[in-house]
Amino acid sequence: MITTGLLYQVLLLLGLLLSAALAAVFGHAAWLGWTRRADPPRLALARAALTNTLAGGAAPASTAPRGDAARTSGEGPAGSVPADRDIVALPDRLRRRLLSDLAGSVQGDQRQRLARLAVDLGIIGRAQRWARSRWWWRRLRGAHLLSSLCDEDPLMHRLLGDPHPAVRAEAITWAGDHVDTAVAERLVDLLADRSPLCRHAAKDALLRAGPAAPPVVAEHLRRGDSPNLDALLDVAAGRPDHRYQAAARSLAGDPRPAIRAVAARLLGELGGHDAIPVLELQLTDPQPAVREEAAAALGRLGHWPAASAVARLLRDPSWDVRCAAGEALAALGAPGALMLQRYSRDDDPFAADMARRVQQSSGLRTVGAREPAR
Amino acid sequence: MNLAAPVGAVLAGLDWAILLYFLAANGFYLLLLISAGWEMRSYVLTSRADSRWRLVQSRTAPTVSLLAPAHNEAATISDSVQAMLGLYYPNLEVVIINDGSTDTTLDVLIGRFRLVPAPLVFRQVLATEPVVGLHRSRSHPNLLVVDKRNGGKADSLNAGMNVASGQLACAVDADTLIEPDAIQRMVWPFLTTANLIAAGGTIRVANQCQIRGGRVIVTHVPRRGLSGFQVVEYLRAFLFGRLGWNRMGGNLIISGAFGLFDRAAVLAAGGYAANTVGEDMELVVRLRRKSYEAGRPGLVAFVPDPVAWTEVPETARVLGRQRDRWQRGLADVLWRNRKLLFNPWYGSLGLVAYPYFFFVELFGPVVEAIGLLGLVASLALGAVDVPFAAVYFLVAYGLGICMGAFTLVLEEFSFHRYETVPDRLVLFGWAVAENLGYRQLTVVWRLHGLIKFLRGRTDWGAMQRRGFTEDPSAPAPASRSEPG
Repeated sequence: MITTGLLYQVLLLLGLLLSAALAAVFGHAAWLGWTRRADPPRLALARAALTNTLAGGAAPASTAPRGDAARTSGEGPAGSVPADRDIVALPDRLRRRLLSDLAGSVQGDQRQRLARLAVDLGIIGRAQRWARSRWWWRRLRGAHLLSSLCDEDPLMHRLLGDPHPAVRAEAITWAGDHVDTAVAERLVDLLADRSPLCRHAAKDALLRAGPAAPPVVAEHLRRGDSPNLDALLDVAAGRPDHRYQAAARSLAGDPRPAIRAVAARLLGELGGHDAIPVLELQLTDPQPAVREEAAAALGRLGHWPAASAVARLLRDPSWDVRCAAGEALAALGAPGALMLQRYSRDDDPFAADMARRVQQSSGLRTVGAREPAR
Repeated sequence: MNLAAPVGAVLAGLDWAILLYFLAANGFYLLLLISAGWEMRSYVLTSRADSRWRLVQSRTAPTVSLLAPAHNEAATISDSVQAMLGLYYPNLEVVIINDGSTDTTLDVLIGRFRLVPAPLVFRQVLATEPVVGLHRSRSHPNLLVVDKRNGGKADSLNAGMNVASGQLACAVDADTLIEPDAIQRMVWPFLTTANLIAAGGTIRVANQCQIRGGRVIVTHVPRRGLSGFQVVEYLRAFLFGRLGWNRMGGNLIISGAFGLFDRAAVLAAGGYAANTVGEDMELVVRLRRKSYEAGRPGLVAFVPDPVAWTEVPETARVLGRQRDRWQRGLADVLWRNRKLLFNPWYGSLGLVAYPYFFFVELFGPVVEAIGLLGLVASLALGAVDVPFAAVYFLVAYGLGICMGAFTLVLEEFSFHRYETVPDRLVLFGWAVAENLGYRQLTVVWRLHGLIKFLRGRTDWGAMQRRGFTEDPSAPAPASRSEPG
């Protein structure tokens, strides 16, 4: 049976739980309210001071007091403008926010000044400690601060191999803006990362990368032994470079259909006389995905002599191939239109249907379409 | 012969059984709450990373097609489409499906967005009512309008799935207010998780919030009872219910008002089912079931960020109809997928998620109703004493109050969208009060839904909305069919 004592115990437990929830909600609300009132004026003063500093009003000296010393004394280095006190007086969380918020908007000398200020204020030191922490979320915060405030830090290279994918992705994103040959090699390796986020970040970084990336990508394509060859081809197609030409032609004959398909897309992006015979050959590939990419590539290149070969694909058993062929023909101008006209009366009903639909859509002839309201 | 003693004994046994049921259900809620807290912490910490926003804006991010069915919405369609086109996402295609409107919906779209006929070339993977025409916008190249014969919401979404070109497809209700960066937030789990088939986000209550230009500018906790209770319900359902499931076998529900799907998976699974009132849940369960059957268990993720705002019913009659329909939808989906129950072949889906929905969500109202009536009868017959009844009440409803309160703690430490102290106080008040009357009322509505399901009723019922206005005191417009 249930006794009155048990009832009181249950009541007490529920009361305690409710009180804890109330205290948590309203304690947090009070803290939030206080920061919302107190932070903006302090941040505004500090932002003005920082803008002045970055504009050359007072360059922070490398001998500036660091971290706690600066905070307790409120003194800046010799030659600092008085406004610097407003930055030094800020709590750490606001200093970090102030500097990292501004970091994305400044370049050149101003960025160097900002980085020096971050060092002087102890922000970089703390970020480096965080980047070595055993806790992934601390490493993430460290990586975030380092990536926004430092152009070069060996720790960021180390974080490219971090065990946590969020930290790795942060480092990869940073690497996209700081690519040299070694970093490009690392990014190519990361295309095969076990985490989809890191693979995506590496692809994005390689697409954003400067001139250091294409030679590395071209070399990996040429060797053709990379485990992430399809992703590498995707990157190459996203940012075509003439150095990929030979490798693309060679990979168009790869035994793996997925590789042949992306190679066709890359050839379509690269263009050139040498690409045409390869693409024409791929129109007869046994895999529909390859035929589809080859037809689309020839359409993109506007290679009208291939019109009749592309038109034959209107009879292809795969809908995707027929559709790609139709759209390619529409892109080939008059020869393509002629082929569409001919195939619109074809014995094969699927070919005729696709040809008619593409004809209608290309404005060659519109049937049953509504006129726009005037 | 005196029957009071055996009846009393049966009632006492029943009361004990139901008390244990409540203990087990609330224990599971506690597990969900802990799981949600852990997940929220991880989410908030990860969202501090800069790469998160850069990567979803990358041109390598997946392409997304936003699918919005429209039926006789000439008055609002222009603003709705404009708001959709203003969403922040680089690879976004907006597909409006004109579901056989008999008003000027299509003409409004043609005039406002300079539509021209587009190729009727698309692969009809899902069977739908015939598509009459496709139109593409000259002013907004990423806007596509599908003109089709009337077939209902599920049919329209299927037509949209056929025509869309995005890797991901996002089904939205035309009257849902979507946060400008909602797509970015929803795409994130697709970047981080392999085998993800769908993602859902938090839907919040927009009643009495200040709205301008299709966006919620200032949030307020409604002072009216029914909508206030629903704010707590929505927070609990999304913040700790669905978020908690992220780590415990995955979700079975994604709100029809805003959900993001792997389009290829939806096409392969056969699209939305038109013959159910719970087509959103039905699709998610079917997608998950088929992914297990294909040997590649698919995941459904939940994003705790508030991504969309909706108007909830403000009258008991309309709310009752909605809950009745939800319960019928749940029953229908669970019935269609009954082979999942305790089936180890389906992993956590069959062993954890499905049984929870079956025993707690579907039969919860039955147990609760029997429990309440049984307790009253037991007290009257003297089969149980007052301390037992009090403990019973505390376990059933006191713990419910605590769960509601801790949901508010989760909200406070994550998004704290209700910013004023009076709002928080009112919200706390609703969290306590909803267990004393409102919850029992929902039990009645859900029971009604179950009974209707058993009788084979599949109608939707009419939904009356006030409509989003900048002035919350504006008069209520006419009723219309609820989009789900």
